[in-house]
Amino acid sequence: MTRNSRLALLGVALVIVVVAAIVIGTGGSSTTKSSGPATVVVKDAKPVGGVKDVTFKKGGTVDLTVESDTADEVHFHGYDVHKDVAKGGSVHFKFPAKIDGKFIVELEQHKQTLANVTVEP
Amino acid sequence: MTRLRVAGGLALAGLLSAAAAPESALAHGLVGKQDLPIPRWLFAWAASLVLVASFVGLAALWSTPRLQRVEERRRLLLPRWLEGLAGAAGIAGFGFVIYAGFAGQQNSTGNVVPTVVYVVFWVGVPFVSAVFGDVFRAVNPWLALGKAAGWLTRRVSDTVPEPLPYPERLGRWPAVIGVLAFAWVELTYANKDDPSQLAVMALVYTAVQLVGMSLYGADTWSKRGDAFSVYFGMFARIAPLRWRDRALFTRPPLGGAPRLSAVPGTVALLCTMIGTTSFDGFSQGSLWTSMADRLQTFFGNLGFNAEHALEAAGTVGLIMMVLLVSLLYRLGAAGMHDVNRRLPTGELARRFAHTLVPIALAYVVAHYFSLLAYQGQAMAYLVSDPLGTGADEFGTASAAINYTWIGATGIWYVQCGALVVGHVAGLTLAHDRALAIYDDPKEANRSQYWMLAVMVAFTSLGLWLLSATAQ
Repeated sequence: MTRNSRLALLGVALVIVVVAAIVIGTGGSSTTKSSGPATVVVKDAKPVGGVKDVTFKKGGTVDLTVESDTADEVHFHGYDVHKDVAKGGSVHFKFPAKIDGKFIVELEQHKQTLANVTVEP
Repeated sequence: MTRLRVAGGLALAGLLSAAAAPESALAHGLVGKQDLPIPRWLFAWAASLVLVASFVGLAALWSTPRLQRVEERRRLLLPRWLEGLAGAAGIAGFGFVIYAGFAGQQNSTGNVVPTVVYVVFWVGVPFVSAVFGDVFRAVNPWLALGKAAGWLTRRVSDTVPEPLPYPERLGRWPAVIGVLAFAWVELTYANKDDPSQLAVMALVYTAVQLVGMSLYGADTWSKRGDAFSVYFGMFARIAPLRWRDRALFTRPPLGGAPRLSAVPGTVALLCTMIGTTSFDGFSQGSLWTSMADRLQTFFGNLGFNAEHALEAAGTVGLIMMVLLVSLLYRLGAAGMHDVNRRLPTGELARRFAHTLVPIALAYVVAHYFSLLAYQGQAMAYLVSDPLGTGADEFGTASAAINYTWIGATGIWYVQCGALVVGHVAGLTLAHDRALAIYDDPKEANRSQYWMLAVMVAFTSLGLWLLSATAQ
């Protein structure tokens, strides 16, 4: 490879860096919003309105209520909190959002996902 | 050339036909926490880093082959008894997994078996192999069983038949089938986490291995037909350590890859490895969820029940992904053939097969690092209570998984870092092989624009699978 073609390739690399820096720089930082306290209503062992997507910010508080017409155990995966819910009763999950990631809240015995909880870093 | 362009366009269209859809799929029964998709800014940085590294690499690359023959230095020799001990430990460990599969609690998290199979074995061993070389060979229970059986037969009988010559055309195809079968079970089978079913499948696999070894000899079969031995051995090729005849050698990293003899099935094996890992990422995304819905309806209309229809849909997706990866690679080989028609496309595909090893490893790290980092910790309590009976053998049964030692941001960097490093390693190997094949360095460079395109495509696919569009 000649010296000139080497320089040309390095030039291309430099152009990519500059363009990338400009594009990423102007893209602006996307701020994620916490969806705040949320409630999932369970009817016939299924979440009303489909599986609920909830987002919290790391460092904030996870606040989720499950109202169920079916007696079962509600399992908040990852944080690994289990709470029994009575028929027609409700359970309340409230704890600091220390772990970021995506978590499933499940109606344990029915193996039914109730909510996908995202904790953004 | 026009045929090539059409095929390229189709492959690209396949890659780009991303559309957002609601609801995300349910992940592995083992996982308590799923990864967040990489954010857009990191995607952009990683993608541009890949391009920069490629162009700087092309500018700085050497003009005579350097990696085709590397020097290996012998460092130490292990005593013979250690070999027997490691083999015995492998058989004992395997035996315990089978026992736990049948005797333990029948669920995914209380029993040690699913975590051992999917996390320690399938993901942990490749990580270890890529650093420490083919250590699995020492504890491979199937090889140890085969060797022990051979030894016993020679002791009790004077006339032991010689093993048959291994058919050249069979090559690594038995391993391709094995890896595909395992991936199918892990990614699409409905009862993948059922401990007793896993134990049954492990026993069936053992039976197949014993037949293979009795026909072609334990060593030969284990190098070609034992899917796990071949799979882990691939990653061991890029390790700086090499074990041979009880001796330990050191060599430059990547130095072992060019030695890969591309017997039949080798290209297919590497494409299967990359394709199945890709499907694991893809199948957790919303795009797949909507595709799977339609496929499931289709198979449901054919008379499958819901569970089998979903499995059939997954099978289609898995095979499509393997074919897509194979097509991409084949396209690169066809392009190289276009530069110099001396070697046919198939031959070029084989001669560059080893360049896919670092890509395959990068995909494994990008997709499974968090599984190992989190679920791997479950072994701490599972060893104390392997059957889920409430035992506490080592006093660690109440340990829990710490999800905070590395956060989402740390995992993103590991994932993108692995893809970028794998990309550079693949390009390095390809460039070195091109210099060895083509007499004219200019022609070597021109052929490598094609490999560069292939590698960029693989890395972009890898990044895309981690990004929000695919998730």
